[in-house]
Amino acid sequence: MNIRSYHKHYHLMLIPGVILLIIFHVVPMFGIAIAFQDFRIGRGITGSEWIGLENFQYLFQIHDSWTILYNTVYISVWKIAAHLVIPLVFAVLLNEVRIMAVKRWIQTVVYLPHFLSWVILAGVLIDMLSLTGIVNTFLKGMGVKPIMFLTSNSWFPAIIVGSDIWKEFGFAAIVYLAALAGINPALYEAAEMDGAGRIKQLWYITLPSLLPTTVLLATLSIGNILNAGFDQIFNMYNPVVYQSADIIDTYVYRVGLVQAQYGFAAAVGLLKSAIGFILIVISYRIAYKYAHYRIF
Amino acid sequence: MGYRKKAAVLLAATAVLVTACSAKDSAGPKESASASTGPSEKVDPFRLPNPVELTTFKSVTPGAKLPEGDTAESNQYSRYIKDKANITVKLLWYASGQDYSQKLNLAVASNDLPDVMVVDEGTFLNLADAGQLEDLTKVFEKYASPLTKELYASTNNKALEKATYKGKLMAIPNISVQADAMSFLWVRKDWLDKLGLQPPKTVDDVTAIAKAFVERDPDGNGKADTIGLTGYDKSFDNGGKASFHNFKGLFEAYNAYPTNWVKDSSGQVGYGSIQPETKQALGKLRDLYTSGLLDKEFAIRKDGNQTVVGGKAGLFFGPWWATGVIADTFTNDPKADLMPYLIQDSKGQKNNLMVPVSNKFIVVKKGVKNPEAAVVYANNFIAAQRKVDPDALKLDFTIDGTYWPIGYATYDYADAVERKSDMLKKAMSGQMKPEELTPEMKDMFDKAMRDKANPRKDVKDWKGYWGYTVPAELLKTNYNKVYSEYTAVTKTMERKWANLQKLETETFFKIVMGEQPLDSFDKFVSDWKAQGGDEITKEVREEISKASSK
Repeated sequence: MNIRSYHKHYHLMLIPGVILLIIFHVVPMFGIAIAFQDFRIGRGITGSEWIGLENFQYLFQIHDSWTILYNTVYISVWKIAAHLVIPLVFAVLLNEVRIMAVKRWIQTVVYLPHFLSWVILAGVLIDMLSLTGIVNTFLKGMGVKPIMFLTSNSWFPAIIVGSDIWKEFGFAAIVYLAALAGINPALYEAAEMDGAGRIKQLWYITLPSLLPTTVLLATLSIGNILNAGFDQIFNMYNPVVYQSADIIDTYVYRVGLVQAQYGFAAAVGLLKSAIGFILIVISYRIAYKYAHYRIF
Repeated sequence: MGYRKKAAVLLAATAVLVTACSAKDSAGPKESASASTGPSEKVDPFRLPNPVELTTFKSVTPGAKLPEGDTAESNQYSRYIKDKANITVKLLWYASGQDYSQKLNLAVASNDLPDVMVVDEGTFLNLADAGQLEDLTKVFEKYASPLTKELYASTNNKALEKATYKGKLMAIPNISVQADAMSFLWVRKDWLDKLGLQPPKTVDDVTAIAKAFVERDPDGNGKADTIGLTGYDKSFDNGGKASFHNFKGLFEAYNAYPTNWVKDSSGQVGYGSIQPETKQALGKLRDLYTSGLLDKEFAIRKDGNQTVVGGKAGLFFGPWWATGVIADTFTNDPKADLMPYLIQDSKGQKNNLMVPVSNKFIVVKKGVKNPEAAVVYANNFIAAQRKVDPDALKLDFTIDGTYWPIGYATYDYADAVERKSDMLKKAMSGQMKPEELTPEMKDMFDKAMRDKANPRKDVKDWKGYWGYTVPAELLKTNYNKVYSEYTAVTKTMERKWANLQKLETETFFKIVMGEQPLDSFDKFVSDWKAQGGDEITKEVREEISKASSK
């Protein structure tokens, strides 16, 4: 087959996606302009006054900016690390389960929380972690003093990361399970012939085969480093833990939507996007250089 | 290879676009169309000659029920307005609570305005400033009904002043009922009696009662599971209106008015949250919290009512109309008996931060063909709400008021609760014949009579009148009226308020919950001043002196 026409096919298939992209993502980009404006409700982009970088300058003046940036990166890095490792370990372990029915059952059970929204899960978690909740009742039985988990700045980030993993690891494991299913069985057979045991097979066949997938996921997730999970934190936090839980998105929400400071919120959002963009370019380079992995 | 590169660029572009903020594009101010009302002199304030259709959006109480077949757009209230006023209101969208304010903010920001809507003071001033509102001066003069005018007169014209921008009436303001400002301490009277305690008068009494409620097992179930004073995650939000489970009543007992601009001891207007009185009150709350007398989990509670209704708490601050919560409580536990008390300051005086005379404004978009429709609507709405229109009595007022075609707000005499309770008292004691009562009061009187014959048998009857007896009587005692001197937004506030507010709530919660020493309040004050507070205070004082010289 002619290679050129082969490519044309693919390009044609891109069209619907590109159109949607333009409508929903390129056109609204012009709204970024308000990051450089003293945006006034009602006057609109054309009517508001241009103030240059004042919004950005103010952002760096605020003492809280650094706390918020730190919280975002801190929570996000823990989430990314855990999201890479835990589903991988889980998928490998699940792969070793030889009874199909048990495997499916486990998979279904760990999937479930993925389909519940944070509005619901946060309610459940707040109940569980309250002073009279199941966790503190258990601790009390062990003779430990009850802990106010959700108003403790030392506990809160751990709870955020932990509960996010609990919600998502089952679903995230799907990708790894698919990769595992794609490994050529002949490799295992050959290894067995050569006398490799279960562990050696895992080490020399399974893990290397999963490496490209892992690198791909890691690369993609770095672009999201400034998304620490708005839904979750917004539903679980309170003013006492602002210090450890307030992230860029919750901050933008409070400042931008609640206080109607659209220009400032847009500036914060734009900065966030710019950093995300730089990070994804860098990580893509790194992935190519060290793992010889390219998405394209 | 070329195709690979392109695709890589596309992917990168996608990534940045996905993370990019999306802000709504917005068109400039719309051209204004002429809106002359014509020279015709005699007009009917309650009915327009030709049918008029208006668009709006509105905030609806979450979970409010409607009869089968009715919708938020088409229900008894919209049919009533159609019948009476010849006005059909098309609902563009509706939402509840915070969702509503978000959607409204977005709509306003993207210039996606309906013909009429109800907004708060900040939004009203913004829209007026942007020249997007229709001038209602003339149509109001011409169309406002006598009752409407009388109600505004009861505010000494303060309400209309609030809605006036650069000399023109740019909105129809609501009229808040001043009784809504009073924060009562509601106490489980049955628990008090059981433990042999006296009703509270001072903050010390509150502490003693909270201690007894926590330690002496008032519900008699043998478990230490009762809460002292309640709170919730917005307990420090302290507007003019009393709300459930906030600390307004307690702050007032220290002459403290956090989150409001009030006159300080020197007579200057200053921000309440940074005054020494506020520190004192926070110190008290902190003592209550650390000794376990204030709900340990108030910071994570979205709703404090559950603790009261569930019979776990018997002490909360709330408004005079707490009858809904009380009814739910005694439905669960027939012995439950909640009574209101006023907490005095150290001089034996009750202070009360009053509500702004108006806080909701019906605004009309510039260029709307029939701006008089808004006034005619208001006339009808007020006549129905005050039940002076006999036809309005056919409406089922248990259906949530937010289903009225245009957003919901109170329009009543500023002292409506006192007036009504007087009338009810006279009727009940036989000084006034039931026939002399207004339709609204006759209805209430009947409810009271039915409830007297069968106490608390029908919750609806009880809820319908009881608020006008015991709590309303307390409103007639002498108290110190404190007014918020400034309720709008200054230039610097727009920019810096969010951060100052964060600083404030964070500090208050941490002080009360014992995470920071009480003296960190002083650092908060200096931080607050340095981070824009001083600037804002200056602006607020300027605006006030400007307004007074107007």
